[in-house]
Amino acid sequence: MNWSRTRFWAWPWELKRRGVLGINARNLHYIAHLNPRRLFVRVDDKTVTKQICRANGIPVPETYGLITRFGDIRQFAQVIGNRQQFVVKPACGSGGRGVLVVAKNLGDLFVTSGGETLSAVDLRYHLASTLSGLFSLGGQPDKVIIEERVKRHPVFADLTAGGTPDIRIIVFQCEPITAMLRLPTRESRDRANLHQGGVGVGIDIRTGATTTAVHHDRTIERHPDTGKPIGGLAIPYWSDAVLTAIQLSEALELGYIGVDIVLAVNGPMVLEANARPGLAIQIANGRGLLDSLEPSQYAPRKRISLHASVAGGRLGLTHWTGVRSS
Amino acid sequence: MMVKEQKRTLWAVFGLVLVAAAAMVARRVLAPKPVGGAPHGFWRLRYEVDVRTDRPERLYVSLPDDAGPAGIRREAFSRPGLAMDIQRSPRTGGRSAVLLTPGKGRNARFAAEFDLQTRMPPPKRSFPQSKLTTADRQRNLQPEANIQVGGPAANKTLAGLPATRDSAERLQKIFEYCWTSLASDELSGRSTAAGALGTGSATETGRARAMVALCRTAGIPARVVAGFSLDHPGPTQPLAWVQAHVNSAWIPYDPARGYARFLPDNRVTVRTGGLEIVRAPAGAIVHFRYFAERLDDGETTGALGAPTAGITDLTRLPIGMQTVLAVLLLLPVGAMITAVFRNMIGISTFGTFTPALLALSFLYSDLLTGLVVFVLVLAIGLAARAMLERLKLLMVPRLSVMLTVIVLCLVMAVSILDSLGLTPSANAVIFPMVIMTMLVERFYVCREEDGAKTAWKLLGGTVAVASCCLLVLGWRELGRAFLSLPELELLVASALLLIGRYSRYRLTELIRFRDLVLPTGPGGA
Repeated sequence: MNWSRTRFWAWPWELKRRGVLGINARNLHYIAHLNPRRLFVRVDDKTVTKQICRANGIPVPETYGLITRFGDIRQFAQVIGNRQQFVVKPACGSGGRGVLVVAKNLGDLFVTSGGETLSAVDLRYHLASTLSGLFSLGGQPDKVIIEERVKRHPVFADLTAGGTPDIRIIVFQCEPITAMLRLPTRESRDRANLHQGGVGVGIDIRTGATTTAVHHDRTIERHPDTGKPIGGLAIPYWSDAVLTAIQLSEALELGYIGVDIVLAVNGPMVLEANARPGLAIQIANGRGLLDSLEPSQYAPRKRISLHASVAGGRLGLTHWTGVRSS
Repeated sequence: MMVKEQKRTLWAVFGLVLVAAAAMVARRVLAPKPVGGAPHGFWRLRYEVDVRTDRPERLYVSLPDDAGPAGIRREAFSRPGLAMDIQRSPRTGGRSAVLLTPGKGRNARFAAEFDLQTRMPPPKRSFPQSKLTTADRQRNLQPEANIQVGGPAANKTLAGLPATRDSAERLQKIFEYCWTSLASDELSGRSTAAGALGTGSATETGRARAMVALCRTAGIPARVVAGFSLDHPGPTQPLAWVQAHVNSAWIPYDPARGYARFLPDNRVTVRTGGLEIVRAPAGAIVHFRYFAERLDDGETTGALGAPTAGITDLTRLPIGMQTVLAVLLLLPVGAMITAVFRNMIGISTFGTFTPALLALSFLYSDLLTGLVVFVLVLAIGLAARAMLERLKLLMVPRLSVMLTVIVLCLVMAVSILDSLGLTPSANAVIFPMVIMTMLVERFYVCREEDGAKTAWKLLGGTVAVASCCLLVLGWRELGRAFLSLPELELLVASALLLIGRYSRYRLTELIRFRDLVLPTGPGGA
């Protein structure tokens, strides 16, 4: 028996050799340098992210309404009207906290995508808690976004029991360096966040095909709920998704971000961006990030135009422009 | 590759260490040498009290005055098997140790050591002004056991004194009478005021009481004082003297030794308004002994600098202030521990400073009481939170209701413990209710949102870091080291700077990312 297989830790030099990026190095060497604090609001407040997306022609889920004051909670029914499906989410939430996906609107009862039934009172309480900052970073007063529930692309039907998978693409200085598909599980209660028990599936950034997967920081090959193999799925609209992520990173002027994209039937839409994207994506891809992060980040930042990045990018992304324009 | 921030940080660390070293050297060099053989030196006063009771009972032991002319540089208590609390009398400002005996006829020993420094130069001849409240005035004019006010003996004595114009002069005449006209007889003299004035012969105690009785009969508020005179090493006995209130100040008189309006520097006041230093309930078997020991100047920790060194010498401060400052000085060390845990080990906690603040509150309670209170508050808080969830309240009122519930439960718990004869020390109750309330709320929300596993993991991390902080905050020697060398704080700051630029893997990441390195078996998924 190989003793290293039974070992349950890795030595630092082994991680280093595999190019694994640690959280301290991420914060000190990349986020602190590439993401100026004054621009954080662009990603920390999803209403701002949405505005920027709209201004740059990046597709986002349609916003039905915005609740900013307790007095506005009464108008919730008007905002919803007779829409059957919608999503309620805190503007400054993180990690999927406080996101409510309503799959069925029965007038005074709401059925969530997870099958829970909420009364109108429950929903108003949720709105009030969100406004008082229960889910926001640092507990500051928050806003509530009510938006379209994006129908997942049918290609994912086999991979999830419920919930909508999303795609996380890490963009480093306007270059996409790694990506993963985040699958909700029953454990994660239909949310796609890895630390809540979601599954992260590595994606080959060039081809858009899924590779290996991660669940609770461990490598897996089959979906924990459905038992189906995860690898080898071709993600539709892949080049569109990557281009969207590049476009958004340019618009945000942040040098190291994770862009969360949801694939709808007719193409990708941006859900949000994250200025402190997690590191489990390395396990999902079975590959450390350091190799893709060149040490040039200490040079003064210059805006890399979308064109330059796509045309001259070392990932050979040239063909994507063609796909997009056709 | 050296980043510019890295360089700057290293320079800052270098600078801080340099400043700290310079400060330490300066402290050594600039500290004036104590004058050899000075009559006012350092003394160690030691109490030894043995007590045995059938039931758990309270024993009161008066402690040396920490605000008086003899400053306390260090104090230490040993009290195996005894619960102790230190109380300060709101009237006199004197401190007492309140001890709870184990009962069941078991012996228990309380020992206390005080390193005292009799101050040089002698205290000023003016006395601190103190206004007497009506109640205080009344109390110091009333008769007590052994101090008979207005009896025939006292009236007769007062009538025999020469006529005077004002109370100050009258006080002087009373003092002179007690000092010179009462015969001193420790064996057959009387120890009560009436006895001493009636027979004209008194013990030291009787003489002090007689003076108090005469003052009170003459309408001058007065009280007895017990304390020690630190003049020769070895077993020592408490002395009794008198304070009388004239011209808005308490003026000392020692009718047994002839000191009027002035006491020698080596007097240490222990108790005012009474003569017994150890007060035990009836039926308790108590033995107590007192020892004085002369210390070389270097022997007290407070003597690192000169007695009159400048503001950088924190050890010149009163002992109570020193204790608080020592804990304050250790707080950054607690923060450093938190930083090590979070950034180098990778254990996450609820909130950044929650662990250190939790530790701070545990510090003043014994570990068992602290843990019981912690678990109790957490359990009650979570139960209350679960029930409140059904009411759908707004956040701030909801948190406030939880605070109320937690406070109420804790107060009731203290009362119940007391009725069982297990009074926790008052300090165990000073618990950061607000921090606990927020902890309960965070735990609850985290459990709802991220699952019970994550919530328990975070709580475990919080408790682990808090325990480590507690160990450091409770480390008295470390606290004293920081107190005598506050520049050590600069070293803590430089360590924090270095942690702030630590970009290597966290310890937990070696486990988290192991699958990227180790080959997973074919059946591993």
